[in-house]
Amino acid sequence: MIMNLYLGIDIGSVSTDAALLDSQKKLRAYSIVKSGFDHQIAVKEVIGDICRKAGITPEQIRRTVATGYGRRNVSGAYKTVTEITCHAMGTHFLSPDVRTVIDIGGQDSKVIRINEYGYAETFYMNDKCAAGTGRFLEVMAQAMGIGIEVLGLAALTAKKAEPISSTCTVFAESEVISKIAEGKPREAIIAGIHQAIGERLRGMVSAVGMRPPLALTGGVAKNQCMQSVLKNLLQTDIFIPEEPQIVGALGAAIFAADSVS
Amino acid sequence: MDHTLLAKLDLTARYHTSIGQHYMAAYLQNQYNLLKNITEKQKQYIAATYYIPGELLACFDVEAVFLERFAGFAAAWRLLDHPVARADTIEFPADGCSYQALFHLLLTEKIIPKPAAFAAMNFACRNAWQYCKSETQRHYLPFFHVDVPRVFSQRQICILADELQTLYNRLCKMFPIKAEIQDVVHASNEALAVQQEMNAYRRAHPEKCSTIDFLKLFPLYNDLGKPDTPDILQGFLKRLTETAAPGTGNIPRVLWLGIVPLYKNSLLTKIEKQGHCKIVWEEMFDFGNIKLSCDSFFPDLAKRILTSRFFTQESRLADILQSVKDFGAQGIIHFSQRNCRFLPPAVPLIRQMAQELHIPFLELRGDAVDPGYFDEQAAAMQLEQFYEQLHRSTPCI
Repeated sequence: MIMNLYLGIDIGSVSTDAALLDSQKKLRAYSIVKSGFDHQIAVKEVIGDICRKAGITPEQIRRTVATGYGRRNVSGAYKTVTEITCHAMGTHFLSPDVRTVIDIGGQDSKVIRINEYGYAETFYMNDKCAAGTGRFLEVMAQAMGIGIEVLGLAALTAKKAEPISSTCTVFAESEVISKIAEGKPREAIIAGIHQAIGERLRGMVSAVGMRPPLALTGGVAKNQCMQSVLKNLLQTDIFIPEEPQIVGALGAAIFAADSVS
Repeated sequence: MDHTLLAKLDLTARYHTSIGQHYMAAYLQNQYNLLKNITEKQKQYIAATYYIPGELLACFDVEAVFLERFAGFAAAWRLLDHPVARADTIEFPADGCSYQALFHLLLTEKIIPKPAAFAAMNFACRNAWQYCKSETQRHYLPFFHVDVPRVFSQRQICILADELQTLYNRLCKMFPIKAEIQDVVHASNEALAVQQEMNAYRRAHPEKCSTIDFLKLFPLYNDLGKPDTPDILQGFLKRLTETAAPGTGNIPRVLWLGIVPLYKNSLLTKIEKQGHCKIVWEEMFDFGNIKLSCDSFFPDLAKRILTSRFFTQESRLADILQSVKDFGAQGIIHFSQRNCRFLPPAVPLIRQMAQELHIPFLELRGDAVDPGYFDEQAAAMQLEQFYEQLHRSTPCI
């Protein structure tokens, strides 16, 4: 039997995320799986996982909306919506006062200014460049020989940040390697890497013009050092969702629910 | 000498004749003749930057090759792959732009011969001037430089007029006179009058006008003063007025700012189709409204440069705002050329203006000449977002 459940699926370059809302727009469950090479498999996996968590079957979902760069690979989706619109709406749902969203994804970053209804007013996106993205952190973590998940924590222990002048991933990697060779403290170099991303994002924020309150979404938002760097650079408190990685999927689920009402 | 460019120009001119766009064919045929003169007949030419007045060069018996136009042709036909990366390896100035890089390659690959001289202005782009200077130093060629004042005033008009007069006098010593100033003035004014008529027409009938045609023909600015430019423009105007309205209905109207990726000018058509919108105006096809007079030839040319919509960000912004109102535009797209210090610096102000007008604004970043710097996937994503906003927005104008 079809239930009033609404699914949002966000297929990103790194992860495929799903959020399930009920008719009261209450979050029933969410899931995050790796996108991999085959989006159809990732979609199947994420739907299976979220249904298991919610204790339902896929047939009971009333409507699905897809977002993310692989959104066209969700067969059976009622419609597709861009990730900028979904991130804006998802953030608005969690914190209606937020007016600027910084979304740091695996392959791109976006700064979105949103209005009082949760719609994107304007946005700025980095393109053709991994600087200021999750990929940048991943490459740096590899260069430092440290796991990406502990990168932020390691940086927080630094007494000072070792400046990384290049924001280009390739150049920054060689700069990091040079600094390791010079014997600079590892945590100082990692803090410098975060600082470099923060500077890059600050530039993007100023391009659209920051209007507080501000929120940070995407997988990198879980990184505590990144949170702290941005807070210092932008001189403002930042709202971090409990699970920042599912904000796009949540926005898509809201559009699914709204499409019925 | 490589004749690929010549062949492409010939083919494209003949194609436009076959589809009845005789004005476009005539424009391309002129460029073909020019190229033939300098390649096969070894006629001397001056390589010039965009704002060197065409009228001034039209006075002399020397061909004028405008760097940006020929780089544009080469880009549109993808004559040379990866121009930026390739130019970097052959003594190209580090901060030069891709237009200059491509022109540099056209010279080094012997697609066009070495010029007799370079003529450059430091407006709109100082890099173009620096590039021309470096080429002249490398090849021991004469370099004609016009220094454009940074502010507009009567005094600055006089200063720039003196600079232009000096350029004219220097050219007099090097090349024979081909046309009297009064003939050049007459042709220029005639062309300007048609151009103004065209702009008035497209303001009145935006749905009938293809913006991409205006973008293709804006380099006619460099041909003001040539005897056949008014006829080409008349042909374009005639074609516009005779074309039946395609019946676009009540779809959102969009302004296109900046240039267009030359290797992908179908982008505008694609945007109109995918976004269910009509691009009603671009800002390049506007040569100003300063008519020339024989008595004040040089001051008038100076005034035209200093009153150009692009001379200050304020004048450009005011003009965009007026166009938003005139056309009832519901969205703005700005194509920002990579590494360009001319138009993109105004983007934050345009973005702010669009926000105040409650209309969506999109900045597409890339390189008009080098496809390697245009991220099609990112552009597609941003455009899709723009369409969503466009069909949701309620402008307050």
